[in-house]
Amino acid sequence: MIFMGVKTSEIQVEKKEEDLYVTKITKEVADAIGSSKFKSGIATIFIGCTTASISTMEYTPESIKHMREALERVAPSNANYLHNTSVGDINGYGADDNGKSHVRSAIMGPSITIPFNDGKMMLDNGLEVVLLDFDIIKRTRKVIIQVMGE
Amino acid sequence: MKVKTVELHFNKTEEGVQVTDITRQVDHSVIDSQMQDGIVIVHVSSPKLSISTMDYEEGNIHDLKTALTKLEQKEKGTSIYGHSVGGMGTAVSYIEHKGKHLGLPRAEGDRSIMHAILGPSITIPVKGNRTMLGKWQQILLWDFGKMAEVKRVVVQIIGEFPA
Repeated sequence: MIFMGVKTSEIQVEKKEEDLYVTKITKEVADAIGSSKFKSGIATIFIGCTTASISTMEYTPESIKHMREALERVAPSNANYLHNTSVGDINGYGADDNGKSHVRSAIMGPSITIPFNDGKMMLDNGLEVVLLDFDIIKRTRKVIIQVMGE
Repeated sequence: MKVKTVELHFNKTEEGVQVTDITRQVDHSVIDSQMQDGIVIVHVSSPKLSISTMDYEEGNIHDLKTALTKLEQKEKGTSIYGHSVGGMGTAVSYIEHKGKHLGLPRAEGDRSIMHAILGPSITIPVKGNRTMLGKWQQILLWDFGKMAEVKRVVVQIIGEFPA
């Protein structure tokens, strides 16, 4: 009999710089898959905020530099953002100076889903699961790892 | 483990790119399904639509529209295919290939580059019959298409349901 189940866990990730901060979380995702005891299925990695994203990329100084340069073209630091001067959101909270962070996060997205088989993520060598933190202050993030499988 | 699929429908009532907060409708779909733990996939299957998450605030929406328009204009300047012509709200475009004008007008408001950048779907974990969205995080439907067209959003809920 095939039994499918769902295991949800959280990790904390610290942003240690004010600029774009990339944190490799591949091991934490692999650990969550291992703890689930599922042989095959999917892992969804999700962040419930609007100034950071989850993605996959090569985790090298060159790749991070290129990511930083690409994001500067998409949402430049020196552009004018209405968010930085607007009166507030639907929750009644006022604006801050991280308009570029919101744009970058919306484009890069809040989650990815990765298949795994025989307990191993189907990622090529060199490809890492990363948290991209676009905010302009140091802070701690909560990342959700949900494993679904059999 | 079960799968439940729901369709939501939205009207386009504004000219140009329309952004609609559909968080409440997705939340209701999850709650109605009674699924306890799993994922909800919010998906659109048209190049005229996209799904994203964002803090739904006037400034943010304006800023992202501006960034997308700039990307689209850069793409137009270098592409051999000729996607949309003009910025947000302009709706004239023609299909070209290798610089040759094929004389085929694209659909009004074709924003296939914007669709490709923002993407067709998001996946959100669900725990205890509630999505795990952040406090300021809303699900947004981006509509680059025609006025008055009804747009379909697929909400697929996969996980553990009560026995």
